[in-house]
Order: sequence, then structure tokens, then C-alpha cells
Amino acid sequence: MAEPVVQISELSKVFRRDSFEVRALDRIDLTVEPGDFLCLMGPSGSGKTTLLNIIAGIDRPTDGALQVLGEDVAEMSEDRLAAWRNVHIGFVFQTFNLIPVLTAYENVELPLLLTKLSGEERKQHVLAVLKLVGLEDRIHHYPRQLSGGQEQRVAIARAMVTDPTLLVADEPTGDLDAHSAEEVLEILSRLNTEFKKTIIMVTHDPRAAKHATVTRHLEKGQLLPPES
Amino acid sequence: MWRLVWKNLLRNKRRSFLTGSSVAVSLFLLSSLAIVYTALGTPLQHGDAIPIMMVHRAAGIVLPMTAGHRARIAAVPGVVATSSLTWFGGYWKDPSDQFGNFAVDADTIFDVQAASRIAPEQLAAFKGERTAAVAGKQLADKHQWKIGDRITLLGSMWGITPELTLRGIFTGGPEDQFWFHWDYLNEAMGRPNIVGMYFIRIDRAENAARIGQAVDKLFRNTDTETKTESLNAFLLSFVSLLGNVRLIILAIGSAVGFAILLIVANSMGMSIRERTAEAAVLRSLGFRSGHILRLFLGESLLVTLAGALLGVGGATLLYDSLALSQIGQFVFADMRMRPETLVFCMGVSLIVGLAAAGLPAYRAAKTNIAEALRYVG
Ligand SMILES: Nc1ncnc2c1ncn2[C@@H]1O[C@H](COP(=O)(O)OP(=O)(O)O)[C@@H](O)[C@H]1O
Ligand SMILES: [Mg+2]
Repeated sequence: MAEPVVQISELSKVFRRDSFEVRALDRIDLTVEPGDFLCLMGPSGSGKTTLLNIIAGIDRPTDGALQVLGEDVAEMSEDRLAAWRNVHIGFVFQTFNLIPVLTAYENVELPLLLTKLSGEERKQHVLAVLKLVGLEDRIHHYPRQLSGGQEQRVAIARAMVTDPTLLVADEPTGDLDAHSAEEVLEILSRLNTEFKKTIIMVTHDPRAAKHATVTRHLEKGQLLPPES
Repeated sequence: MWRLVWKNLLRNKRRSFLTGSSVAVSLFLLSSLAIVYTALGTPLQHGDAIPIMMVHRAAGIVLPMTAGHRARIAAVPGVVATSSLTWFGGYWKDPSDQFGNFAVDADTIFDVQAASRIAPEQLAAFKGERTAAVAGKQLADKHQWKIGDRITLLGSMWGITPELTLRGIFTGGPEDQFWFHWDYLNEAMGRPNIVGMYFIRIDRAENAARIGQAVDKLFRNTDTETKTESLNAFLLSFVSLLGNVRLIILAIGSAVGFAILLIVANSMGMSIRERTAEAAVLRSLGFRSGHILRLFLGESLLVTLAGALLGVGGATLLYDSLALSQIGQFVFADMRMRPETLVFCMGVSLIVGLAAAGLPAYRAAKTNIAEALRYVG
């Protein structure tokens, strides 16, 4: 069996603000295997986003051990971590977070600007992923000219364009109507089954969970034992 | 990357435009001030600050004076150097080409005209040879004279044609003049022992009036009464006044510079803070802090330098076409954009562009990504 994509033990995160502290994550143990589609559920404020951010290397734990793709990401320097994210992690956010002044094409191309690929190679990659999410006819549209569902699909394309190992999605359907949400979930599901991407998705949406291979619940910073 | 900088600028066209044009206006002002500032400083640089007085016959500037007066004038307190100058009024080849040629006291002329510089060996050669002459660089260039050239002065009312050898070329001071030995003229004329006027250099411009009176008093009630006038007293008193004006200009200029900084800092600060979350998104995609810094600084520089180019360019065109140097010849010797001024103004805007965006850009580049993303919606 290949090594786990994510291996977490006794991981805690405490936010300190002036005098008070929030224990957002409380001694979490979690393993994510290659090819998993993990769905993290839980009430608002339970620490889902915090956990996802730490795994994806945009936040650091207060305590505990954390290995992602065999790397001790908590110890990496900011610049190495940035390069690592570029290669290994794809992000999908609830609010899409596309750059409004760039077209769909340019948004998707962004992560590739950090690689050594030539303009022509970048173009091939960008067009391929935009086709994958079904937006080959929208490449020169700006985000405001797209529907929410289309925006989120552009965001998925941007997350996928560097062919990362791990895709993290924080409530990717939270701002979408039911139909668009279903489209987005289907794409994620295909990425998992056809392209063997490991996906960690945070959601409140019970319908979303049915696409997942594993579902875990967080509550007040603690990971509940898996249901079987 | 540059496309992103550019597109970000166009994002809020009105703000970019307003910022750019504020910079343009301010930089126009700043370069105008800088131009005036340097122009006001020019007389000093040209050595006009050396106070020189002219002693001539009270009855008329063209009447001759006795050569023997020199020692008496030189003894007046405050007189640093004394030399004589006798207008010869010849021409070289072309009668219509008039220039100032004078018989001077070769030993002392450069002590009086201290703004004129000449190589020591050339000066020695000039002093040591009775038929030697020197010319100002401007004059020499005009006639393409080289050292060693033989120059014959024709057509003078003195009735002689001095055959001279150019032994030196001086720079600074009256560069359009030609000097040869008074001894030569005096002997050729059969020793009449007369000079046209005396030039004296005095210790301080402020003493001009007192020294002038003292000299004139020496010859009062003789048949060669004198009148001693300052060549540049007016200019000099003006120059010291200009010193104060320059100081004021400097203060205003600094205030203008500071104002640009505030304008750009305010607008860039606003625009960068609005995009902290966007910067965090870019960083989540793998952009490093350095990329973000460059992105924002590049944007700020682009606005600032574009504005500066307009403002400074406008000033350059305006002052060059107005040719103000024609109007105020005397004081505003050089009212135009100099390369140094240009570099200075562009330098100021470069610094403003960097400084204005520096802090917010640094914040956006370094802040915690997770936190910045949290406040997205
Ligand atoms: N930067 C922060 N500073 C202080 N508290 C924070 C910060 N980020 C998150 N929290 C707190 O941590 C807890 C978990 O937040 P989060 O991970 O966003 O929950 P979820 O995504 O499950 O809604 C919440 O109580 C939240 O208020
Ligand atoms: Mg959340």
C-alpha cells in the first residue's frame, strides 16, 4: 500500500487573540489514503476550514505531527511551502476567488506562470482543463460574465491545471444553487474516480457527502470516530 | 505577471487616472521648482561671484589713464589684485567680425579675472613672451584657433597691426575676449604710457561702495579724476538674496514631494488593502511573498512613473519652448530642464512609488494566508 497522502496525529490549533484563546482543533488524528474522497462535515465553527488550511499548507498547527505527501509541511519555510503548494495542492474555495480582472483562461493559467512551461505548453494545459470542466466555450469570459456554477468550475480548472496530487475544497457548493452544486460535485467525483485525485472536501451539505468515499465529522474541534 | 499588473491598474481606471494625474501635476510643479532652483544657482557656479570693479576716467570711459596709477590703486585697503585693460579694437581677417581684444597687464590679469582658468604652463608662456596672446575658449572655438597660431590684429585706430602668437586658451570669465601684452602696445606706440582702465578685484562684494570711494578719492581734484564702478555688484547683491529664495524653493519642493508621497500612498494603500484576499489567493496557488511584493510595487511604480513622465516631460517642453533664458538672461541664466534635474525628478517619483506602496504591499505579501482568505466574502 502506498504511503498516506495525509497523516495527522495529535494535531491541535489554538488561536490566541489578546487575552482569550480558541482551541479550533483539539488533538486530531487523521489519515487520508491516496485516492480517497474525504468529506469533512460538521457545524459551523467546528474547525473544518482550519483543518483543511493546515493540511493544504496555508496555516500552521500549534501542536502535533503532520505529514502531507510525505513532507513535514509545518516545518517548511514560507517560500518552499509556496512552491510546494504550487506543485502538489489544488485549492477550491466557497467563494470561488477568481481574479476579477483576468479572463477564465488567464485565471486558470495563473499557477502555470510559476512553472517553466512555455506559452504554448501552458495553453495546452489550460485548454485541456477548461474542456474537462466543460467551459471550452467560455475561455475569454471574465468572472462577472459567468454564473456561479461556471465560476466554480473555472476555479476547479485552476486547481487542477498543475496536476496536483491533492485537491482541497472548502464548501465548494456553499454559494451555489442545487443544480450548479450537482455539476460541481460530479466534476469533483470524476476527478476522484477517473483521474485518481485525492480530494478533501469540507461541506455542510448532506447531498455532497454521497460522492465521498469517506466521511468524517468534526465537532468543537474534535474529530468524531468514523461511522462504519 | 506584467499583464496582471497592467490589468490591476485598469481595474479601477478612475483611481489610477486620478493618482497618475496628481503625480503628473505635482511632478510638473516639482520640476518647475527644481529648474528655478538650479537656474538661480547658476550665476554662482559661473564664477560671477568674484567681485570685480572697474576704474575709469570720470570724464568718459574711453579716455586714457596714466599707466603709473596702478600702484596707488593697488594700495587701497580691500583691493586684492589690480590689472589694466586697454581696448585695442582690431579685427582678425574679417572686419565685420568684432570681438573684444584688449592689451592687458599680462602679469596680473588672471589674478583679477579669477573666474578665468588657464593651464599653468600656458599662463607662464603668455607672461614670458612679449608677443604672446591668450583667448577665451568660446572665442578660440569660434575661430578655430589652436595654441601656437599666429594672429594678426588689423584695422585698429591705434594704427599698428600686432603680430601675435596664441599661447593660451582660458575657460570661465569673459570667454569671448582676446588679451595680449600692454607692454607690446606701449612700445609699438612709442611709450605713451597710457591705459584704458584698471580692473580691480576686491575682497568682498559688500565693500564695493567703500573701496570705490577710496579709489576715486585718490584722484580727486587731479586732471584725471576717476569713477570706480562695480561690474557685478547688482548681480552679487541679487545672488545673496537669491540664496534665500532658493531656500524657500527647497522648502516648497520638499512639501510638494511629501504631498505626492501622501497622495500615492493613500491611493495605493487603499487599493492594496482591498486586494489582500486576492493576494492570499495568489499565494495559495504558489505565488511567493516576493511575487506579491513585485506585483504591487510594480503597479505603484507604473502609475507614479507614468505620471512623472507626463509632468516632467511637460515641464521640459514648456521651459524649453518658452526659452526663458532669453527673458531673464542675467539671473535666470539657464531656465531649462537639465539632465540632472530630470534624473532628480524621476528619482523622486521612483522613491515615492516604492515608498508609497511599500508598507501595504509588504503586509499583503506577509500576512497569514488563511486569515486573509477568511475575510474574503
Ligand atoms: N484567525 C482566527 N482567529 C481567531 N479565531 C479563529 C481564527 N480562525 C478561526 N477561528 C476560530 O476557530 C474556530 C474554527 O473555525 P473554522 O475552522 O473556520 O470553522 P468551520 O470552517 O468549521 O466553520 C471558530 O471558533 C473560529 O471562530
Ligand atoms: Mg469554514
